[in-house]
Amino acid sequence: MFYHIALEHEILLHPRYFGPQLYETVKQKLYTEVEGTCTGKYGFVIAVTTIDNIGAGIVLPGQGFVVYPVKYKAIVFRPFKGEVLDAIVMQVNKVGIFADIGPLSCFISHHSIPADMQFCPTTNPPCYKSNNEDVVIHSGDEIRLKIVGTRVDASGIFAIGTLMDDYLGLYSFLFVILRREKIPMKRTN
Amino acid sequence: MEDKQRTISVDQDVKVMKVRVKTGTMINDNTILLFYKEMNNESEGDQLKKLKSTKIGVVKRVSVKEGDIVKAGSVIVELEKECNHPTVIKDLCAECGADLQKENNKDGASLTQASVSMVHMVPELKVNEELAQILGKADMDRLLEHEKLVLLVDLDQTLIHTTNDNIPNNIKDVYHFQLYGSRSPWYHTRLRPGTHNFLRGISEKYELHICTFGSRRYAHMIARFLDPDGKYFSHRILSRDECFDPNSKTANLKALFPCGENMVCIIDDREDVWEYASNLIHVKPYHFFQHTGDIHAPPGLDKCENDDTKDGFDFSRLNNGLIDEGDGSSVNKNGDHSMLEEEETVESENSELNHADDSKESITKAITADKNPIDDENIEEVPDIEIAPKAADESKENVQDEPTSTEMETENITVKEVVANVTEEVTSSTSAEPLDTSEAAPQSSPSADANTSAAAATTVESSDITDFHSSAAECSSSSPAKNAAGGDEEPAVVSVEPRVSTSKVDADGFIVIEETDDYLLYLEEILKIIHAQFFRIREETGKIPDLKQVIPDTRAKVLKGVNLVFSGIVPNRMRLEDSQAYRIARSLGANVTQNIEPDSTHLVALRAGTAKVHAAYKRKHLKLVTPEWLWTCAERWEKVDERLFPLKNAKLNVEARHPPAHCRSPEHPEPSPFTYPSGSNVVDATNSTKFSESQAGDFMYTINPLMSLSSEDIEKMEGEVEDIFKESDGETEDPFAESDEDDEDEEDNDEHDADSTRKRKLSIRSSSSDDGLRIDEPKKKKRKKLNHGKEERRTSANDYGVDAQNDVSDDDDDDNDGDDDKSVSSNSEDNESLNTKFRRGEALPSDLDFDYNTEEGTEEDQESDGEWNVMGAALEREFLEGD
Repeated sequence: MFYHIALEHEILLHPRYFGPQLYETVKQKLYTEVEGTCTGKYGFVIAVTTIDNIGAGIVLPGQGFVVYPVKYKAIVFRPFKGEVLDAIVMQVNKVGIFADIGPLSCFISHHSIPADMQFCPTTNPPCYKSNNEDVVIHSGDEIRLKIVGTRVDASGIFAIGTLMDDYLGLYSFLFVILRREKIPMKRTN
Repeated sequence: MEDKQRTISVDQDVKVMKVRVKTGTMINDNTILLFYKEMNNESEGDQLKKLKSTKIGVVKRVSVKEGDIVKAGSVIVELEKECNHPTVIKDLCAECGADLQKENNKDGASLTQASVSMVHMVPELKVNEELAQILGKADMDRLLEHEKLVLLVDLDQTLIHTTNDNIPNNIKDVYHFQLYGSRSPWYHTRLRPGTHNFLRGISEKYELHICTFGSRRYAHMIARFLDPDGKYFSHRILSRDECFDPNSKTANLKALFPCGENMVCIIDDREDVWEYASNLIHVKPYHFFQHTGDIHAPPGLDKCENDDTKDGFDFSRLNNGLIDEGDGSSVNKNGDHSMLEEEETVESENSELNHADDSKESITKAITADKNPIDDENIEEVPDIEIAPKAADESKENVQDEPTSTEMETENITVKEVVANVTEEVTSSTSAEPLDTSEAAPQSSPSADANTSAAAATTVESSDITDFHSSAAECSSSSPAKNAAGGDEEPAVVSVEPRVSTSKVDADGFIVIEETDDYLLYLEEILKIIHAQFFRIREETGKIPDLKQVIPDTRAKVLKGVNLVFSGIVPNRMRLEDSQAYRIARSLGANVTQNIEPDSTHLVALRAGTAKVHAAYKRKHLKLVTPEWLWTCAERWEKVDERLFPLKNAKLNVEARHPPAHCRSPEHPEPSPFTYPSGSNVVDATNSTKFSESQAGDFMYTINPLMSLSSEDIEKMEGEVEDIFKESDGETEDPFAESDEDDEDEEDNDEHDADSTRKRKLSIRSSSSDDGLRIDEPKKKKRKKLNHGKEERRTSANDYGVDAQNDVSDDDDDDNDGDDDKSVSSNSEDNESLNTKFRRGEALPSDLDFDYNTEEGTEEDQESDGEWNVMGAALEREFLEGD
């Protein structure tokens, strides 16, 4: 799920940047240091939208470095259990499917793929195919999945997904189903 | 108990208002099961409360419905059997999403048996044994259905050769890449000739997996070069990052193929990383860049390990040579030989050149057009070759006249490297032309190699514009493959514009290097035969055969029905069954006999002139071949035409006695140590009529002890020496202890002599030939012989400096008669007495003695030691005379 939240970050600045461009430098440094990172609590920081306040810098004794507390707002992406998301299939193998949801990688075990879909290793690239060959999932396809578990650690978040629920699976095929059932469709992310 | 754990109940009386779950719903921790109202606490009125799940699983049955009033302790939801977490990734159950780290901590023990890492690229994705079996079975069924086998392909030195040395950046068909950003080192990769054809051909019969010790990035980068569409390897890439064991690739096999390795075939240039598995086809290592061995060798080995300096294309030399373009001195030298072309080589060159790039031909034609033809006839026949030195000279001058940039050395160069079966004449004649030899065909003799590379050293430095090298018959067969391979790859990321446009510039300014390595053609053939064999057995028996048997069996058909006799290959001290040659021949299915039998078909002889060879001349059907024939058979797994390796005219090539490393058969893991016979065995050996083998005996024994000496052997050797001394104690003058010490010294020396110098070889050869001669004289007393053997061995080890000169002359006619023997032995006796005299001299400075005994140094040291000995003895004599 995406959130727009206020966050804080401390910027450590080398004295050589002290000058007319100082605040500009602090802002730039914030962007580079914060965007794309991942914290367990807030998830992935996608983009900094506004910088609300750059506090008074504190010179670190003995070093000359200055620490600026910065308050900013950012769009963050935090996956939750039970959330339904759209993902792009990255790799298909006999054990399951790896898919990426933006910065979040996700694995779907073949047990969590509907039983009528079989792994088909002979095609290039390999794919999961339904019995009547209506639905073929191979790498590069968009799928809709539900997250059943997440692992949050220092370096990032990893998720376990499933396709075993209503209206999950190959994105393009969902249109077919939904049109058939006259349900309006919108993207989840 | 089980039921209790798999159910969820309430702990108070409640009224169910709304049920949120139904049969089949997956519930996790904190999933809301239902909304309820507490019955006891009326005061809270209509407020709904949520009942959350405390367990994980799939709902089997919901035993309440809306409006029910449930008593405390009664079951609300029953769950299916608990998830046993068959698939785990990063400690998350991939089935139910449970965090196993938490659960494990809670329960103390691991909840999952998932331990098999089945996907090449994702080692953290694990499945349990049961599931692995299912998946493996499915894989196997699928492969059988499509009549495919599994082939594990090594990269480095099998399909490609990579260096991180500096090389010119405009060599054709070399990929340049960086793995870790723009500041990281550059790697340069060359694909083995014919790789694309090989992969295309073999992928129809095999499912290809990459198994490399390169890093993951490297492996994937190379995979992209080999297989841009991902149709051969797909995601089946196993790299060092995924290897369980840094020294072995075998550990991963169990995980990748949980149903067994019946259908797994391996190609690799290293046997050790597969623990000498019998389903491994040991590939002839591919070597392109000089000074670089396997850059991803297992830890502990240098990248230069196994780097044969004779092999490979030396770009530093190319570079330097081309920088010195002004030096034309060697050109004149070349001119003297230019007319030595032989008709035969001209022909083969013609056929070779027909395959060459058009651009090259036009270039060379342009050159020849510029100047007066030196030899009209030759030029008409082979215009391309006849870039006479003069032409080269002029073109060089042209280049010099052009305004040039610093990178000039890299342009308008067409280097063709070719060699196979180069006779010396060919070499000398071709050395007239600038040539660079880098790939030595396996069967060309090392001495010829030495010549060609020496020639290369001089001529390449003379920096000529167009290099051609003549090839022998075999090249023409391999050249189509070469061209096919060369044609379909475009040089990768980096290219350099030709700085100076002369008429000789290759279309893109790339250095084109052609190689004669055609091993992949043979490998493809081998693999196809194995594939056919596998599925034929399966059809016949209905069972799935094991490649671990099929592959050795296939190999054993190569020389089936062939009866070999060795001459000059197996040392007489060694049992035939213990020799490498014997094992290789056996693994190829050949019969090997000690002596020429009525049904013998081939005599594999190191040199002409041995007793067996003479005997063989009398039998017409017996084919005489050099050892290279056998090694080539082992390399290609086919019965090579014997006419390619005739014994006649073959130059003596002592190194051919040892099979190349890649020819060793995987069934015999360790090159097992030579057995050193005890004293009685020596007698047996000398009594036998194995004339020629005995020649090899001592030589083998001294030249290559490192290959085989284990501590056991050394003990055995010591034992042998002691035996000999006990036997000959009465006759020898030497004090027992002293000579014993000497012999130990000899062993030491042997051990430290990995590289023997020429001098040393000579002395050793002479001693071995002495053995042979003695055997010719069966009437000599055994004891005497033993004594001789001992003395000579000591001689060869100790007195190179003194002996070598005599030995040179002896060496040539060593298999003539017994007269020589006397002279040699008297010789050695003289030296012996000199030596012993010296050693008995108490007057000598003690430090000399000390030096000798503790000397463990190199050959040079020992040689100078020998010289010291002589000088010391002379000094002593002078003193004595003076007195």
